[in-house]
Amino acid sequence: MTEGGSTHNVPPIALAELVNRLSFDSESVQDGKVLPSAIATSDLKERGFSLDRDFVTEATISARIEYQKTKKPGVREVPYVSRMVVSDILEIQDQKDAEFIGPVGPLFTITADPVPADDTVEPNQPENLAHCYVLSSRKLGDGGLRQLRNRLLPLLQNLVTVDQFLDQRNPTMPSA
Amino acid sequence: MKALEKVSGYTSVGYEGLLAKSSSSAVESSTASGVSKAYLSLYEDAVSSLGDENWSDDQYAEDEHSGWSPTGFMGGHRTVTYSSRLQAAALAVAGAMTLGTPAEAVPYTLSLAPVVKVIGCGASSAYGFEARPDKANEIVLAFAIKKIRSYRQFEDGWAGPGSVAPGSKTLVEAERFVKAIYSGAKVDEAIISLSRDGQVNFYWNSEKGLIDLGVKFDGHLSYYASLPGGIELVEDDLPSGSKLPTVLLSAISA
Repeated sequence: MTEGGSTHNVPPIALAELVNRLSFDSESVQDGKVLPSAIATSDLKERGFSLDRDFVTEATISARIEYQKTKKPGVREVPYVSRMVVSDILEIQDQKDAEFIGPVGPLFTITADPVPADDTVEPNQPENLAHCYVLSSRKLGDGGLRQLRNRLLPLLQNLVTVDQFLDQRNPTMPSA
Repeated sequence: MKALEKVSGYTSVGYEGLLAKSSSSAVESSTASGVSKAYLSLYEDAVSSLGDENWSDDQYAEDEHSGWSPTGFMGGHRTVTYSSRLQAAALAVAGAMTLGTPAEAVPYTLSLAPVVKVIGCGASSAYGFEARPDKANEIVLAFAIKKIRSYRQFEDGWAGPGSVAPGSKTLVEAERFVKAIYSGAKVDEAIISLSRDGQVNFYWNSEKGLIDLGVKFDGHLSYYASLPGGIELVEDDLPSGSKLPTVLLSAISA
């Protein structure tokens, strides 16, 4: 079962659900491969590695693209989306621990975190009820978090364009 | 061979002689083919960035304060002439290389080494890398420094809301790190990238292992390495210039 402590009325995240990472910076992908740096260690530690559930709105995506343009005027970057299944993220466990002391549980947690319009990091961003985030389930230093992100990285390699994402996704919010 | 002779002619008069002459012959030589032009353009662009003048005096002061030698990081007395010299040397090297000259045949005085020495990008023994100049490494170094310096243009929000630009300590240490690794024995080229929390990352992934290393906001390093034989190395906080494990250095040696 995934976590979900928000007061907003969104359903808990299901194991079979798809979650998506929208990125707009060329630093994260080179030669068609997502780099470890796409996952900031500080995000895994405390801020949360942001993802969107499939019912993220087009308005939210468009607003992010526009925001990015204001930060990098004149730079054309191709947005891309990594699509992952929730159960795949939660099945990542520490094999060494499992070998010696038995299964110790997932290395990551996923938490639903709907963001109302008046609580966005930047002004003039639309609400995003589909927002969720991944955190390390263990307290680790920066090197340990690098180890962790390299376990998560293979799941991010399933890349599609934003248009493909909009075609593939199920925009209906699941019933609670 | 005529063009090559011209390049060799520069060798005989040494670096200063090269500067005293016009580099037009080298340009002419190196543009013998489209490939040469493309390579030359990239190379010139990268090398000329070594001589850019955007690094402020305040930054020099900060570098010295943090233990950086002024000569170890482009002393404050650079002039635009240095940039011109770099380009002249680069053109000469590129000309010789793109004409099919074996790397060994390119006189060392035509390599970037003298230039590197002038601007302080030369040998370093930091992080346990043994100083051993290598021409191929110098080219990789030029591109690496260009990429790291490009991060100075990044501002908060560069990768979306909440992302932060790298700080000066991070960039200074990242540059120091690449100078250290590329002054040693031949080293595999790292993929350099910035993460949204402002860390500069170096990534190697080959049959010799996976290494994910980064420079943090305080200039310290952290890394994770997964090497053959099930060896895993994790370092959360390595102070600037500290020696890296030998097994890790071996994994990135070409």
